[in-house]
Amino acid sequence: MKLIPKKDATQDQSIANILAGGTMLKYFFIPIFILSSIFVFATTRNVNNKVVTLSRVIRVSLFLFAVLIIISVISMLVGPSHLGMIYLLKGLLSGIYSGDLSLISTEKTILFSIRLPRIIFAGIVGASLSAAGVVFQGLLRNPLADPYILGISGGAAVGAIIGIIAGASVIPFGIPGLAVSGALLTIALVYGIARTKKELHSTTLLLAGVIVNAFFSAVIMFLISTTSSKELRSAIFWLMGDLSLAEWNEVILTGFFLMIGFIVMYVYSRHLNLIVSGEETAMQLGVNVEQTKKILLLAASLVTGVAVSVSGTIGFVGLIIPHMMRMLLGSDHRLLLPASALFGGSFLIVADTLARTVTAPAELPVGVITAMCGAPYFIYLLRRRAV
Amino acid sequence: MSIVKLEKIGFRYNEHQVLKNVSFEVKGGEFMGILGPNGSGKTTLLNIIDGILIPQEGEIWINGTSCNKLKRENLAKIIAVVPQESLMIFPFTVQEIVLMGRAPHLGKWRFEGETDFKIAHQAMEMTDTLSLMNRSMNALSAGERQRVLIARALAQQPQIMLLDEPTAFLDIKHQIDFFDLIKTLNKNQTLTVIGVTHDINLASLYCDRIILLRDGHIHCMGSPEEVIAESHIREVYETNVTVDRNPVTGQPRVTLLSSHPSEGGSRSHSGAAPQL
Repeated sequence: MKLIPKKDATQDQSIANILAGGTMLKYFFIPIFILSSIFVFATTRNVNNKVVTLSRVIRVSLFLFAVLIIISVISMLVGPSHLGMIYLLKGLLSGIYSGDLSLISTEKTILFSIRLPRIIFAGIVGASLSAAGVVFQGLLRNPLADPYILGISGGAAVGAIIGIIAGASVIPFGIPGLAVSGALLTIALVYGIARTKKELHSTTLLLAGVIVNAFFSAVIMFLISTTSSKELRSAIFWLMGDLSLAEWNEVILTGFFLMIGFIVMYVYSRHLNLIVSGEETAMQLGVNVEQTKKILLLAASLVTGVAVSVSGTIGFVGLIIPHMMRMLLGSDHRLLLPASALFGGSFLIVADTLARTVTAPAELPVGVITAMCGAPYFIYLLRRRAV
Repeated sequence: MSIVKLEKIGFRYNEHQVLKNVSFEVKGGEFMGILGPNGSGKTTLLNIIDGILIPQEGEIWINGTSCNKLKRENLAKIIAVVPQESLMIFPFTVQEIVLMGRAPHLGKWRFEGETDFKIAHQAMEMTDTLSLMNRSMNALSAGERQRVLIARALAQQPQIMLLDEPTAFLDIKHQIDFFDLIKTLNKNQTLTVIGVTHDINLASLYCDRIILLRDGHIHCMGSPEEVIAESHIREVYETNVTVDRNPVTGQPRVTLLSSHPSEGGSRSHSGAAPQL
């Protein structure tokens, strides 16, 4: 792990004196997000009772994609640097018109080398976690399931923390590499425990995941208690989820795995509907349940493992977003899956933008924001018995 | 020609022999009932017919094709199952549930088309669930849910419908409504029905033939008159019953007897004449 996560902040500070104005504008971000979410609610409510068709999937996806783009652009314009939002927007627009940005090179660096990869990264991680969350909830037929329920995050965390202690950050992909290995080993371990006679029982799988997670928590605590204070901070940041390390390499890697995983999950999304109605029912309706379960679990685990390895354990996204979308759009996975991925991306972009702006120039781990917004919301959902 | 044919079926869970040497045939359009005490292998037998369990011994033919040669998807086009109860963890609407019945007819990729919607619509019409179309499955009463499950089974356009104790959670009105509907479909659509039930009197009212299972083998098989006899029921269920005739239909009727005759007698004080 590179211990300069504050690139944005430090560089921005140096040019802060040159460029004046626009400090307050970052707080406009919050009402804008609230408005756009209300918009999402308003436009999707009235189609709640309609059955899922291809055209509805496309319409909702396009709409949520537009929301994602708008949120990304706004997030690009917001930051701890004292760059005016309007000024940057004008700069960007002029670039679109004339092909030449009327921005100075520091501004271009901030926008395209620091903020843009981080925003895309947040989007990809959010989409990965939300899509995987949908699949885990469906497969395990448990509304409390999330991408971390099978212990994948625990395994990745052990790998990452060993890497941090051993100083693997000097090797390219050192820490994410170790984290991915940890995640993959965990997947293999949990499946190995849960599999009996060619069958994979959801309850056994859940129990195996919980046990493995508990074991890894203990290992993590052990490792942390033996760590020096300098490494401790990195380890804690990793555990809380941190997107500040985003570089194009990581963006491309996670994006690639998300794409592959998402395609596989989408192909099986209708079969997932049937499995949610009961595994026996799914078989009676012609689904090869065991095979479908294996493929879906593998795809969702891989997507989760890769996302966790590069961003740490960002909680609640993979739990909340699927429930939110299910409430708005219904339970059909052919719509739920793309909608959750797109909205989860938007959600994490907003959370990350808040994480890097509210206490600027210091930075919060994004996991803190998602959990602080996520937990009360989840309690609200529980109280409404809408889960 | 028989639509379902089982030959010398034997099935074990681990070392426990659940079914042994079960052979029977069901003709197209027949209403077949399977009776037997708990643990006699009724549900296992049903699961073997719909291909969920693979028997270690014997063979099954569906429409003259050996069952192990049929793919899951093709089997689901012929056989539909109405389960006991189906509570959803996540809220699907009635229409979504009924459309799921189209799954075996669609590939992995295809969305439901015009014809699928039409078939689902008809299925809901036949089961009187059209008005529930947009309601969440979990918001319905047990009787309504059971009708939706029939609609889903009908949307599969099956030749055979299997019932797995479908009226276990229903009151008497809904039990009769359910079986009336199944009987209508059985008569009008020439649907073959094979149903597992605990209710001997319902089986007597609706079934053309009945199989009585005991400890995994067929104790006896035949028309309700032949099977529902005092001796058979007493022997298989190991309980005291009397069998007489239903005063309206003339079908055999089972009456349960308590092994505490005095208590049974004192309860009847309120209604019928006291037994002395």
